[in-house]
Amino acid sequence: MITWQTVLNIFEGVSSLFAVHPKLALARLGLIALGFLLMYLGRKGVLEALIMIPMGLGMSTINAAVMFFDPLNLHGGVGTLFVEPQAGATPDAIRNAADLMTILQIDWLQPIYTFTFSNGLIACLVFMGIGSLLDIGFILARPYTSMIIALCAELGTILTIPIATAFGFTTKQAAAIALVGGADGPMVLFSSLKLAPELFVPIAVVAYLYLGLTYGGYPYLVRALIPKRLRSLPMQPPKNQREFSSFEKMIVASVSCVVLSILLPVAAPLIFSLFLGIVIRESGIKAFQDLISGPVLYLSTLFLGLMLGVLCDANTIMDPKILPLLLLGCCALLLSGIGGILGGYLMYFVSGGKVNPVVGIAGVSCVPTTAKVAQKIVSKDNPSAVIMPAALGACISGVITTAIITGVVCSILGKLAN
Amino acid sequence: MSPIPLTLWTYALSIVFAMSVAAVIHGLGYFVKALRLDRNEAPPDASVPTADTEREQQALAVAIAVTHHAKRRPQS
Repeated sequence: MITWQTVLNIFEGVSSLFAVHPKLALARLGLIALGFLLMYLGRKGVLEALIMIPMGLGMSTINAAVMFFDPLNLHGGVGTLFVEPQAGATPDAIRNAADLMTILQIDWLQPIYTFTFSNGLIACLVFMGIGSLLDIGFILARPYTSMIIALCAELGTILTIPIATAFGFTTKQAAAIALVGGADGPMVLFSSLKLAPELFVPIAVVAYLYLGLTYGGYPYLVRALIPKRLRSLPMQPPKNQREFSSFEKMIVASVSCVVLSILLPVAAPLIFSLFLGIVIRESGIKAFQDLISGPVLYLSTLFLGLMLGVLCDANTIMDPKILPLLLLGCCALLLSGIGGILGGYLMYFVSGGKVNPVVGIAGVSCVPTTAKVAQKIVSKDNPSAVIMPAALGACISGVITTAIITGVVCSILGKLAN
Repeated sequence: MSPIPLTLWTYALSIVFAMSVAAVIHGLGYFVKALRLDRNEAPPDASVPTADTEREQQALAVAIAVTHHAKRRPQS
């Protein structure tokens, strides 16, 4: 005979809503709605579609597909068949291995999380793909200008460390959170794994949510801080600019990779991945370039977005540490944007009015989003002004400065207790 | 380490490293140009078989020819 209990057992996704605390149930419903909203905004082009569409669908589904299943007894009897980020997180190594093996045999996305996400491999693959799309010639044209702007655009990273410490986070956690200000997703994943693995999931989620928002939010910041007269300033190519051959770019990329790896071995996997992409692009091995800039980059980005979405279950999002993280992430990116614009102004004055200050926002290294945002803003005010080459130079330098800051912070804090 | 010295040290070291990288990039550009390391205009297509493979193919062709010739020789 079919009883009410039988019906509830069939529809576990619904009945599990009533089996948990009402706050958690409401959070699940809210996250389902938020997932749909992210997908809609991604589709509309307000947020970055490549991340937001898989992330939104993942977020909605993970909060819908909850059932009475908790093999590791971590979530009060409810769970999903997607992924368990806490598997293998106990201090006991033998239990860790057993738990991880159990979960690897149950959750369908666990192999991707364990073997590509939680060890930083996916970040390296994304970086390799980004590298294969970068033209280092834009930095070669203006190395000092690009690098100074990028350093200014790290203001958020630098200032958020003491601010996060004031919120009660340890120095390592504060540094991991502050690196959101570098606006470099793979770098944020990497540094949070190195410095604060216990905050890895919330930091990764917050970082990617906000990186999507830079696309929509930074134009308002630029318009608020730079008058129209300066926004429409056309930029000429630098004096005596010459063409850089592929061979030249390849040598510069190879030597820069080795120099940065000697200086910052902690960030060497990411640095190597980025420059490997650049070297492959310039070496003329078309088959490799097509592979890295196509299937590798897009597959990694798809799974990155999907993993971020399925990590947004109500248990993680309802963590009391999430609210300060949301505030600090927003603060870091806002300060970095302001710092970048100040860098743009600095170069405008130093160059005697030859550099459009809007280039500064591209120093925030969300490659190539911020460079595209900078050009879009300028084109709106002066359709004939082209700042894209300078903006891309600042953007690529931003990746390098973020890698440098990550390496410095990890090296300084790596050996400290907290 | 407290956050303020950490912040200052991080920024100072980052400025030094970033400007060193800029100097390396700037200097290498001139170095490559001065040595004319890129004087071969058309880089070889790295995706096609290399000279070694070609030699191997030639060696194989010779071996096949020798074997063929040996087969055609009348047995004594």
